[in-house]
Amino acid sequence: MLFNSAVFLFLFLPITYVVFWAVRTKNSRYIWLTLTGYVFYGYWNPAFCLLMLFSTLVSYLAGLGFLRWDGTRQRRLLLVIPVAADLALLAWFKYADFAIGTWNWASGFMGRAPLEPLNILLPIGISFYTFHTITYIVDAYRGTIRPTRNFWEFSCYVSLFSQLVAGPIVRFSELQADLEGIDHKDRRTYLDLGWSFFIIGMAQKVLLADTIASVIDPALEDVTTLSSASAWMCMLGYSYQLYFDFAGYSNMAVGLGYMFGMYIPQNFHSPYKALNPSDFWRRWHISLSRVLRDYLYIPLGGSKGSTWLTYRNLMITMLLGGLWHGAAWTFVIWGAYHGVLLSLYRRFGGAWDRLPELFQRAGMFLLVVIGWVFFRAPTVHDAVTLLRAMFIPEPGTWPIGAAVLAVMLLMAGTIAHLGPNTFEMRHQWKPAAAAGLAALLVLSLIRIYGADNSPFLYFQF
Amino acid sequence: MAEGSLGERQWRLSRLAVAVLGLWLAVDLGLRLMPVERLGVSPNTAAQRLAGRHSPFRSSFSVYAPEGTPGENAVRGNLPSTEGRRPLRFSTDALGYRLNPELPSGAAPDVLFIGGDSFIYGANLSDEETLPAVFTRVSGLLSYNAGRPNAAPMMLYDLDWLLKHFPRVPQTAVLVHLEHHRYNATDRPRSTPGVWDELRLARRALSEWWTASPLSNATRRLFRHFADGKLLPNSYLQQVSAYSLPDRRPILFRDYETHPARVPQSGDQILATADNILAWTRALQGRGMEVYVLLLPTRFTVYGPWLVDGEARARVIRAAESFNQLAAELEGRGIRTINGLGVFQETAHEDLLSGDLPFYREDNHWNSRGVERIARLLADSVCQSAAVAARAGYRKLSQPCR
Repeated sequence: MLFNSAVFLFLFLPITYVVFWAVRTKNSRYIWLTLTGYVFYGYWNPAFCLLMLFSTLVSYLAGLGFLRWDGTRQRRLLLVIPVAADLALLAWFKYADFAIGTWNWASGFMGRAPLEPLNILLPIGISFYTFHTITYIVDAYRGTIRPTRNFWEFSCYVSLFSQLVAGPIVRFSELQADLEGIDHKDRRTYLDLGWSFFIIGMAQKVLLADTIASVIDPALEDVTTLSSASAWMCMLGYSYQLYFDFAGYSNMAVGLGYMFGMYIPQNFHSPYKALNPSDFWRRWHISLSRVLRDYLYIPLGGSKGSTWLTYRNLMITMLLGGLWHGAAWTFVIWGAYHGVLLSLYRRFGGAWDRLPELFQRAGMFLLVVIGWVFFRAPTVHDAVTLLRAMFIPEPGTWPIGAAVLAVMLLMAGTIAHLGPNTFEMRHQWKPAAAAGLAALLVLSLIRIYGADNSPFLYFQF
Repeated sequence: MAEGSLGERQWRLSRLAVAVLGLWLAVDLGLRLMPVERLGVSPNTAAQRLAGRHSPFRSSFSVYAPEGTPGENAVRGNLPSTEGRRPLRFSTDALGYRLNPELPSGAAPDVLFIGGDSFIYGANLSDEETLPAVFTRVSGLLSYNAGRPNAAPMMLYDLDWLLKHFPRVPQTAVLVHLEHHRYNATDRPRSTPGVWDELRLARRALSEWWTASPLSNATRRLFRHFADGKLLPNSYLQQVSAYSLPDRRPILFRDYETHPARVPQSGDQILATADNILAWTRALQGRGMEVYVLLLPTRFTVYGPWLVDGEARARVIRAAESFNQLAAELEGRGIRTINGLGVFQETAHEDLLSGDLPFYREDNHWNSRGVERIARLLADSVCQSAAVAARAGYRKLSQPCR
């Protein structure tokens, strides 16, 4: 189910909201949110609910195990087995066909017979909820959280519909206090804040990202025909589309969290205002960056070893981060590209930081846009073709709707580079501004009703 | 909660948001309660709303569209309609099936048309142009149109319900199979509804009601208006495949029409489909009807060989061979089979040259010329049966069975 769909807005959300506040006890609210989470998830494909249930059960039982056993060996087993189970799920559903494709590519050189692809359907959001459960297990192992004995509380955490399929990746420790206090009574406290986030997020997704997509998607289908200017326009468009699509989703998730009395942390902090690669990753998909830092980069040694070990750790982290986004070599290259940027910044950061701030921002944005080429292109060949079109002046066609795109780029660019992000806003709207938000809601509804449903880009990850 | 603050103004925003959503929903629901067929919803869609449990359409429903309806494929592809439209009346009888105006009310039908989805109930055709209506005129045999939309296929319990409402069981059934329908070995007609069937029925009812939304229609039109290929790209175009005819007019195909050529059937799939048709044939025979199976090809299998080249053309030809293989398989099992492919193939090239097709160019259905051809072919086959001919003679029809 999509946040930007009539069934969510007019059926799912009102029912979920009314029942949630009508029932009073902790357990009944946990159970209700669990049920609604499964309905939300199963609306797409009910069979995959079993996967989520499996992942939930394994992690919950591991949590109980941590409460019961103190021995190092037992705790290690409690760490390794469920994490391996989660990673196995992810490996099978997300990476099996990628591995077969890679094997088939390599076997062409070795004269081996190719394997039949398995054509496995990727369960939506698997990358997100497996990370929820993995971080829970690791945190329990580290002792940074006390695992819950309440199954419904845990299942509510895993299946919480607001963050289920595209994040943010909220760690149990970040939500535990709100989950423990879920039986609070004052529903009005954060309702307005929730609606404010939700409407802004929906407008970002539906009005900005989807309109940009309606121009650039057809143009990027055949990158060989694009002129240099068109290629740049399309990639700038994609940069804003991706940002407003994902940040829009995250804002809607935050808003929904508020409506149900839960604080979901910020996932985007004006990333296109970043001054350097480190700054960018502190601002873009913050929840993922933190997970990668705390559960991969630091355990690998972080920056505590030699310079070269630090570079190695950065590269491993970013390569795996790239692979997490999608099972394709383009994502691996995108991850490697950012690993190189981070390493270069580590080496030459002093000189970069002395440049004028405007130059740093513009330069960083340019580097990010170049990276998005690999993120967007379906194949490495397409990415190279697109990069060639961007950097070697060539005549070609303009995308249909270039004028609309130019206007959207101007609007999106102004908001992304100069405007405050949703967490920087006060959300205390005067009547005129509130009416403006209501107008955005109406426009979004017109688009939701009138255009075909548009899934969020990060659903595919 | 770690952050956030409360203010009187914010509470107003949330009330405003809920009011906007509530108002929107009220307008949407209010419009749905009105006669949606007069508010831009197509006759088919309007008729499917509020259908009975065993019926594909609302009972005793009638709508007249003096300007006809645009081709479904042109609408899907957001392309301007270039094909002439004719006035169209879409009516249903008291049982909620498409009305055959040639069948007097309450009369016992001789022939029951079943299967064939929108080809049989007659999408984009007026009541008098549907196959059962034309067949009645051509053969003199009173025919009942039990065609149902693809989303609401006939089940045996629907059939039994229908038969109960006839004065007597029709002597003959024409079971129509469309080329793109494929069955698994486990697909068999069910005589009693299971839990899944009930759930599917409920979902269908909800979905049909939800689909017929004038507000949604109006906003869709607005977006399609902007996506004209100039101001914004026409992203809808990818929903159809367009080819140019010798007279430079387009012919549009939907995915399902090109599917048999794109994804060839295996021998096992053909056998499974034959098994399913055989099971239906037995079920109809078991209810006292003689059964004829009418096989109808997709437009692409008919015209594809003249529209595409190379490997694509070879695939269309393979699809036609599979279709003929199914016909042979059915005949081999003793089922009287009428293969519609040949009738259309015979004139396909000339049709394309003249642009005068038995199918719509901008719609996935046949037009009245296509219906007429098949009605005559069918009448020739059905009327060869001595029993049927005798019956028609007995009734002293103006155009008796030949």
